[in-house]
Amino acid sequence: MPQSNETLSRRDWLRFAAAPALLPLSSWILPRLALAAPRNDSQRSLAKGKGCIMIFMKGGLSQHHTFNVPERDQPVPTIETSVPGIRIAESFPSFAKQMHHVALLRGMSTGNSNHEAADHLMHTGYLPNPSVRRPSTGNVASEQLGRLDADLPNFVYIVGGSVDGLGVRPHRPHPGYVGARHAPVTVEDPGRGLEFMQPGVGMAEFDASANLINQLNRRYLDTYQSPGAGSQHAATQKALQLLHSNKAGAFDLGKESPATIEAYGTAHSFGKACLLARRLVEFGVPFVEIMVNGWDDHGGAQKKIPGRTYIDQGMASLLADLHDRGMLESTLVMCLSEFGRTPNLGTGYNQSLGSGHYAKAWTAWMAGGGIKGGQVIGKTDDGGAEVIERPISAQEFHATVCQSLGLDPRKQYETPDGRPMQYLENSAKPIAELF
Amino acid sequence: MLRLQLSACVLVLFSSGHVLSQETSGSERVPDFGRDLLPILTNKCLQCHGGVHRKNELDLRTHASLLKGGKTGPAVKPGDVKASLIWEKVSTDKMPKTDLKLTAEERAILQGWIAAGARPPASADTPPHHEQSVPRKPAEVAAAIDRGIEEQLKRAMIPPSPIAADSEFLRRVYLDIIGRIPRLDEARQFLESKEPDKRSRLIDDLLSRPDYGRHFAEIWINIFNVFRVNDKREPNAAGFRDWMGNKLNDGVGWGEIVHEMLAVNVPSFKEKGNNKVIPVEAQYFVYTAQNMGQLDPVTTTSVTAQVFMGIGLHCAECHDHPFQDFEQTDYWGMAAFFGGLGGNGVPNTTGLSDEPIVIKSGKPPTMVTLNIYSEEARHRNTRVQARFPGGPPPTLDPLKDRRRAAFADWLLAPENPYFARTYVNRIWGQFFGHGFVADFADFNKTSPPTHPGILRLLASEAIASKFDQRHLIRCICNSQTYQRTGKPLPGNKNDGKLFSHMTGKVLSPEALYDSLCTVLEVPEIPVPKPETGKGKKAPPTQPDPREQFAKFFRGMSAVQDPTEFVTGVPQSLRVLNQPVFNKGGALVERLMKLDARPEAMIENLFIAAYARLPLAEERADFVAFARSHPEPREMYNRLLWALVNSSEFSLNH
Repeated sequence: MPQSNETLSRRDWLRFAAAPALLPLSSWILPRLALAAPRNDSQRSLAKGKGCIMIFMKGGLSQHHTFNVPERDQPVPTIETSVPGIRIAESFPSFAKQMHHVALLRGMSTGNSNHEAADHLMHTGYLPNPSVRRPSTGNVASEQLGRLDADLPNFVYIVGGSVDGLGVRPHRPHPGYVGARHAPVTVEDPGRGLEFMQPGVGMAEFDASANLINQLNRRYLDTYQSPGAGSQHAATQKALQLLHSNKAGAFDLGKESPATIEAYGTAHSFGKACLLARRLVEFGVPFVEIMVNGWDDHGGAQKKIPGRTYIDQGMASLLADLHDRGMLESTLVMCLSEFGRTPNLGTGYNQSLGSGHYAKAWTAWMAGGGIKGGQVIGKTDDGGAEVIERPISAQEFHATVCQSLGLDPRKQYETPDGRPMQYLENSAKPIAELF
Repeated sequence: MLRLQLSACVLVLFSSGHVLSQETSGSERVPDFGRDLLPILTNKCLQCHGGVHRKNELDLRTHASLLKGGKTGPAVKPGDVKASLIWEKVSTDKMPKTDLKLTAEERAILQGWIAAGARPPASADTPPHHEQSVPRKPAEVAAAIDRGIEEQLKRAMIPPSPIAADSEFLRRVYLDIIGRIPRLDEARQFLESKEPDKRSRLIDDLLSRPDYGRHFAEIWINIFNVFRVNDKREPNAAGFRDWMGNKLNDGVGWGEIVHEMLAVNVPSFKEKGNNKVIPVEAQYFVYTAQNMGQLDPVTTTSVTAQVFMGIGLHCAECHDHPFQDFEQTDYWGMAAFFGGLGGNGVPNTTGLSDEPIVIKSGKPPTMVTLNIYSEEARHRNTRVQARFPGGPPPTLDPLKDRRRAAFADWLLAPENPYFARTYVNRIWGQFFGHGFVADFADFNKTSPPTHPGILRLLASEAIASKFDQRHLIRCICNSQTYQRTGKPLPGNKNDGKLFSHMTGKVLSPEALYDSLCTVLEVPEIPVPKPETGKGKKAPPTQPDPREQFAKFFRGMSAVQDPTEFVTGVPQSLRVLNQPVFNKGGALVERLMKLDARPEAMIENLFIAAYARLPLAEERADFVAFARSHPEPREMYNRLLWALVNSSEFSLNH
C-alpha cells in the first residue's frame, strides 16, 4: 500500500510550534514548553549505546553472496576473517578484517517477503496496518534519546545511492505516534551534505530580518491555526537554529582530510554516506540511517555483488574509524535488509539461488554499541534454506537495538486519536548472547 | 433503560465527528451496520476474523457473513442480544483476545444494532447514478452544495465561518485554479474592482488561462506518482503534462482523457524488450504503473482501482481482502483485462499488450482468462475469467476485441458505480484539503462519506457534463462554502470534516516555485551550482530549474495530503539562503522606481506576496525595520525575503 508511507500526520505540530512564537525572538531556541518531561537518566546511564548507524540494504541483500555463504552449492568462494572459524564471501576482504567487532545474525527469520510490508516490518517491528502508523527505529530513538533543543537533528536519513541504478521505493521512516518533530532530516546526497548554510548578509542583519518572519508567523498562526503553518514555522526555526550553531559543520565532508575521504571510498556515494554518518554521530546526532537501494537482484546477485567493492570498503572503514576514535563502544552499527534471497529451490522463476525474495532465513549484522563482536548467532542448514539454530524475529531484532541503545521498548505512547500504544510487544526479548 | 443509555452514547458519538447521512437524518438513530458497527469490527475483530485469517471459519467483513457465522453457528440472533454468540464473547471480554477490548460505547453500538434486528447496512453510500441528462447552472449547483453543508453544520451545532475577504479569496482561487499567487497588478485590479460578480468572473477568467490545464495535469501526475512502485521517475513527464494540459484546456472531458490513457496502445513486451520504450503522452499513465522497468498488468490493476475507482482492491492481489469484501478472484478477474500476451497467445502477467488474442495452435479461447500468480494463497494458479469488479463477466470476443478498451468502456459508462464518485471526491479534496471520503483511493465501508448527498449531486453533474472539469470547478468555487474564510471561530476550530471554514493547504512544490517566481518577478529560481570541484563531474545536461526545485521540495515523499507540510530543514535553508531570495528580484527595483516612500513600498510588497494589505501591526513592524536600516534597496530586499520565508507565503488559506 504505497500511500501508507508518505505523509506526516502533523497535527501535533501546531501545539508544538505555537510555543516558540511566544518566546523572546532573540533566542532561536525551540520550544522549551514542548520539551517532554525530563528523561529518566538512571535508565539512560545503564545503556551502553549512545548513537546508532543503521545501514539498510533496500531490495533484499543476498546473504548467500555475502555473510552466510551456504556450504552446499557454494555460489561464491569464501575467505577467512579476523575471527578464526568465521568465513564470509571473498568479495568482502576489508570487512572480514573487522569481524572481531561484528556479530553476524544468521538466523533472521521474519516471515514476510513483500518489499513494502517487510521493509515496514524491519523498520518498525510490525507489519503495516492501516489503522495505526508505527514509528521507525530512528523516530523512536529521536524521541527517547534526542533533545528537542539540540542544534542538530535527532535523526538524519541519508540516501546512500543505489547499487544498480534502479530502486524499489523505500520505506520512509515515519514518526507516526511519536510525533512529527521526530521525522528525519533527509540528506539526498551525502557528498553535498546540507546545502545553503551561508546567509547572504551579515549575521546581525540576517537576525533582524529573521525577527520579522517570527512576527509574521506568530500572527498568522494565531489567526489561521493551521497545522501546515505550524510545521512550516517549526522547520524554519530549526533551520535558523542550525545556522547559528557551532555544530553546523557536522554535515560538511569538506572538513575531513582527503585521506579519510579516500579511505571510506569515493567510487560510490555509499562511502561518503558512511563518513557523514560517523561525523554526525560524533557531533551528537543519536540516530543515522543510511539507505542503499538497488539490492533486488532477481537472478543477478551472483554476477553483481562481487563488483560492488565500495560496500566492503565503506562498511569496513566505518567500523575501523569508529574503533580508532574510541566511538565504537558507544555506537551501534547495524546492517540489515527487508529480507534475504532464496536458497536453491529449483529452476523455476525466482527459485534459483539468490534470485527470489526470502524471509525465512537471512542474515543481518550488528557491531559496537555494547555488542559482543566476533561471533555468529544462529545457524542455517547447509543449503541456507532453514534456520536450524536460534531464529531471530523482527521484534527480537528491534528489542536488541533497544537494549544496545538504552531505548525503552515498553514505553507507552498515544496515537493522535488517543489510542494507547506500546512501542514493542511485551514478548519481544533482546538477543541475550550479544551482550 | 438500555435504550436510554444507548441513545445517549450514540449521540455522543455523532457529536464528536461521526456524521449522520442526510438520508437517515429524520429516522430513529439506530446503529447502522456499515456506518457504526463495521468500523469497530475492522479495528478490533477482522485481524483474526477477516479475509486473511478466518479463525473458526468466522468472517465478520460483511453483514451476510456475520449472520452466517463460523464453526459454532451464527454470530448473531437478530433481536436477541443475549442469545447472540458475538455478544457473549465480547461482553465477557473473551474477545478480542488482544488487550484492545471493546469500549463501553462500542459495546452499546453492538448491543443496539442486534436489539434492533441486526439489519443490513443502510444504503447511504450507494454509488451515485446519473440523475439528469444536462448539467445545471453552476450557481444552482453551488447553492445546493451550500444547503447541504449548512444543514450538516446546523445539525452538528457548528457555526460556519464568515465569507472570506476579497484578498483571501483572490489568493486562494489563483493558487487553486492556476497554481500560483496573483501578480501585484492582477491583485490590485481585482481588489479595486467594484463589479458585484467579480468573484465568479475571476473564476471564469482563471479557467480560461493555459496555466489551468498545466496546473491540473501536474496535480494528476503527482497523484499517479504516489502509486509508483519504482523510485525512478520517467524522463518524459513534461510531454505527458503538456498532452493532458492541452486536453484540459481544450475542454476535453476527464472521462475521455482517462479512456485514452487506459486503452492506449503500447508496444508489447516482445516487440520492444524491457526498458527501451520512452513513454509518450497518453502512454505515460501505464508507465507509472510499471514494476522494475516492465509494464505490468498487476500493478496497473492496483493503480487503476485506487486512482479511478476508489477501491483498495490491491490488498486482494495476494489474499482475500482482510477488511473488505473483495476476494482474490475479484482482483485477478480485473487484472485479466490488463494481461499481456504470452508466446502461446494467451494473456499472462508479462507486458501490457492490448492486441486481440492470437492463437497459433490448439482450440481458440472463448473467454479472456488469467492465471493467478500468488505465492501464498488458496487460489494459487487458478485460472480466472475476466470480470468487472463487483459485476458480471464482459461480453468480449477474445479473438477480436481489445481487452483494455473494453474495460475502459465499462469504467466510463454513465452507470459505472465507481468512476464519478472517485473523481469528484478528488477534485473537491483538491479545493478543500480533504474529501467527503477521507481516503481518496479507498471508499471503504468503514469511512462513509460525510456528505453523501453532495457527493451524489456532484457525481451526477460530472456525468451529465461528460466530466467537464471546468464545470465541476465552477460549481465548487462559486459556492459560499468554498468562499468562506480560513480563519476558524472558537466554535468551529476543531472541525476538520464538515467544511465550516477553509482548511489551510500547503503550496505544492510546483505552486511554490511559480509563486516565488511571480513575487520576485524573476524568470526562474536557478539550479544551485554544485559545490566547487573536488573531482565531481558536472551533470551532462542541466536539469530544468522548475523540475529540480520541485524534486528538491518533494524529497522522497509523494505528497498527497495537501494540508501536510512535508518538507523540513534542508528546504527551509534553501529559501533562507539561496542568493536569489536575498536580492529582491526585479520587483524591489521596479517598485522603488514607482513609489519609493516606505509606506507605499511596504504596501506593495504585502500585496505582491500575500495579495493583501498589511495589518496595522505589520505596517508598524516593517516601518520600524525600514527606519533602522541605512540602505533602502538592501532594506527592501530584506523585507521581501522575510515575506517569502514566512508561513503565510507557503500556505494557501
